[in-house]
Amino acid sequence: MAHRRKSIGIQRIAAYATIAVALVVTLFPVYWIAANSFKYDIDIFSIPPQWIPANPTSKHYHAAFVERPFLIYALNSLIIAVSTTLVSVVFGSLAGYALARFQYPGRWRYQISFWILSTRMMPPIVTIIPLYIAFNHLGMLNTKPAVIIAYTAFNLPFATWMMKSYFQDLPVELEEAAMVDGDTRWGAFLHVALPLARPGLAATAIFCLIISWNEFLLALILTLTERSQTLPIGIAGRVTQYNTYWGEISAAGFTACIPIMIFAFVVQKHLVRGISFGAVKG
Amino acid sequence: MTVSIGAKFGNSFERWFERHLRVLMLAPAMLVLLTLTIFPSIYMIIAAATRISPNPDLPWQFAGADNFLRLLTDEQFHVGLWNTMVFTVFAVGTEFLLGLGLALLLDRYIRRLNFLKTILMLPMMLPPVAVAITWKLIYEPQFGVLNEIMFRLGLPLQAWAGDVRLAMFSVIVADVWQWTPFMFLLMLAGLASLPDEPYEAAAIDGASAWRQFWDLTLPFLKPVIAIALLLRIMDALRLFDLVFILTGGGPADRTKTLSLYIYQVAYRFADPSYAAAISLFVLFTTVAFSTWFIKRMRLAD
Amino acid sequence: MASVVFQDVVKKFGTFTAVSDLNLEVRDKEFLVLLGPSGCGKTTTMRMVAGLEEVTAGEIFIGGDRVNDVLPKYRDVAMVFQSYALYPHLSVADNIGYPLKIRKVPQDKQRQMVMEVARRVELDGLLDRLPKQLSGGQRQRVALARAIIRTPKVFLMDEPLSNLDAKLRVQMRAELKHLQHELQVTTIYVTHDQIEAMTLAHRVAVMNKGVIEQLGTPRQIYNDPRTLFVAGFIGSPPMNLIDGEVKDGVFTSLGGVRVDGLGSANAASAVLGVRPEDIHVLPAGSEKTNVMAPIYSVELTGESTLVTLRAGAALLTVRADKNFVGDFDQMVEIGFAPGRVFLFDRQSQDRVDF
Repeated sequence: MAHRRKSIGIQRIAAYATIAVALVVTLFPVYWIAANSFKYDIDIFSIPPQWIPANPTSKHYHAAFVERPFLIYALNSLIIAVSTTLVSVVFGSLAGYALARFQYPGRWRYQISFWILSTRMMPPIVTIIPLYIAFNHLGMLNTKPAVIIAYTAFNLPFATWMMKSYFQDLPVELEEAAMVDGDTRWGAFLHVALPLARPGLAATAIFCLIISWNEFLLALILTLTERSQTLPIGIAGRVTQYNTYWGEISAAGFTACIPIMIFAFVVQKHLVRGISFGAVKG
Repeated sequence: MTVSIGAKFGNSFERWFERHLRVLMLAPAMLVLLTLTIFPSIYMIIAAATRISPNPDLPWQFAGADNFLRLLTDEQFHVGLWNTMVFTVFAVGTEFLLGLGLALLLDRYIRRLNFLKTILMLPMMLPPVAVAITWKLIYEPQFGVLNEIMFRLGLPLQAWAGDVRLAMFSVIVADVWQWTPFMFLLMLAGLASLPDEPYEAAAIDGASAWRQFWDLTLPFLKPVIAIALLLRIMDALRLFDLVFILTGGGPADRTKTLSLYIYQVAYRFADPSYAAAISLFVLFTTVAFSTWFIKRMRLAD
Repeated sequence: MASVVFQDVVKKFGTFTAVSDLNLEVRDKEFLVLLGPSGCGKTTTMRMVAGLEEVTAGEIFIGGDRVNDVLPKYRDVAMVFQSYALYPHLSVADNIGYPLKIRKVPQDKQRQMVMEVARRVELDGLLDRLPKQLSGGQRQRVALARAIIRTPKVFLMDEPLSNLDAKLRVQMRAELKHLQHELQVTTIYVTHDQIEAMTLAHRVAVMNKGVIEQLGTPRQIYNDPRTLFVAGFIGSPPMNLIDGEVKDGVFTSLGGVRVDGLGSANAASAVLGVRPEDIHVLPAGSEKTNVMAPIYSVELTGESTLVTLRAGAALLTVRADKNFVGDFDQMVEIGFAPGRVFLFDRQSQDRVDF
């Protein structure tokens, strides 16, 4: 909007100052957890606080990942996040395409779309008790598949909805041209619609990955054993009533953030696009 | 140079597959979602209408509306409900105002620098558990950063998340830190899609920047704002991770949210029937609210 | 190499009837244009041939085979879309070769055929480009090349020229006509542009509200319109249509138009139609004058001058000589060429013969 009137210097300086403050407020907590993860305990507790680690140490990383099973937690998190994302994106694109393109009798298309979206509105705490009992009966508590299934239930509506809006934005003539040229509808989906929806697929996958990597409540209830727990559960487990292992949880917490931060910068283009149209279109 | 496609009109499987594609493509997602929502819903209704004994060998007893009637007199539930509402109103309200303001600033003064935007969006992507830990570290009464700043400014030191008066405020601040970026991002996307012409026309008509904001920007952004608020309110109503780690619902239940209370009822007090009743209440009010909101804001089309 | 036959074809979308009871035979090697305003059902008709829309009732035959339940891929038709529908992720060569790839034609044969077709439509230098790097005219050629590469039984063209600028459209029109003549493939062409219809078609089917109003050669459609709709739709500038009444073969309108010699026709509410080129400016006081009216505007088009007169509530357009000179509000006398006026019934919209 280059047309908006050029502003005078003071306004501009105030604006830059505000943005700078926002950046500092945004970044400081992340810096602080990182800084503390590299401090000896005694430096963490120092008064006044030590702004920059005076004696950097990797002791807490060693404690978390070698002495305690945080490596297993991280691996569990990764396996669960990737599997959930795969299932959600595959099922979500199929359903999203169907809802974007096909006619259903009466108002069924609208009803199904709305119902799928509404399942996303269910607070997790509401479904978790029955899921817990069901998995208990099936002997699936403390297993990764149980967590993956539960996560899929929460990611699938979102993935379906996002892919639906993406497919709706693609011109339908492309698939029709493919069909006249000799493809089946399914072939047109595979050869034309899906390759063109790659940015949408990427954005959807990114969201599923982040949501699954960060999830806490479902994993807290469905897993009790080291072998099956995820990174957030492992971190929370070190905040006990009697003692908080600050260095260790800082190290683990910061580690949990690292992949997300790298990810955010690598895929920033998809992210903005994905979020904006995903949200704007509901 | 005629090129044939093989069998004249194709085989019957292919025709069947194509004809039923709209069902086949929808089926996997529908099956997963139906099993994972219908089954729990039925269970919740049954559980809420019974008294489940902690001893698994004893049969369930029909309890009618007892569990729901308990909601009326359970003070802990009322506290949880109140806390959830206070949190939702103040957290989402603040996030919206800050996010919109920041988006307007960046839209006007910094248009390119995408990495700045990515940095500003970072908090919303980080694991809530890690965010809670970070703020716990900042709020720490003895060696926390916040009290150091208070000390430097000559203000009285506080227990923050451990203080009865400030606990909810502290939770809200941490949530605002994590979720303002979400509002910011949506508003930025909304601003980027605004058409230029109306502003040019308004400028020619002599409308001030302030008038342009009220008469053009806000009405244009309305659908985005509505969706952003809806999504954030839904999330705020189910707040769990942050309070679970930062305060555990304390002190004196001042930050106990409904989600946390349901968790405690189900797992600490081992009373799944009552937990189911509260859950159904939460589910019903959330769905009622969002349906009303969607209709009100005309989001369905 | 195939005829296309519609037998009692009906297409409904919910309660809306897009095409009602269509009967039409497109002959082998014919260039048939479906002409009509938007929403008249012409595109739906074409899409039913391609198999992109299912038929609600009736039957469609391509080359004698009933194709109602046949998937689009087996119908062996090729289609050029209004938006061209080029695959944006594929190069020009891959776009053109896509039908061959689907049919698993060997790689080197594919390449050879693509080259051949590309040369024919003058795209040989652009084969490695992506569609977004092409101009509108070039994209149009890619779409055409993709359609002709496999010599289908039927070409379907959905307003293929409407996205081109005026000059290019005229050029492509001639090329299309020549190409169809050369390839001798049955062609169904959808357009709302009556000039395209007149210039391209062997036969034109004028559609309105899901029904074929008239089917005939361009000449028949122009010279002998059977309904009020066809009369008003064909011709540029359009035929003058004047409301009035006929008594014993004499037509009179409120604007002072009077035409006699219409046989023994009688109608309380009739419409008289006469084309601008069939009206002549007469010297003052001529006895052939049908109406005298003031000039509303004068437009020089180059080869002629369009003079618009205001006769009561109606505006009459006259194609006058290019040297015609006249001022606003100047009174002019005009006469209609005998035998070139048509009479329609306002109620039934049909032609009244006399």
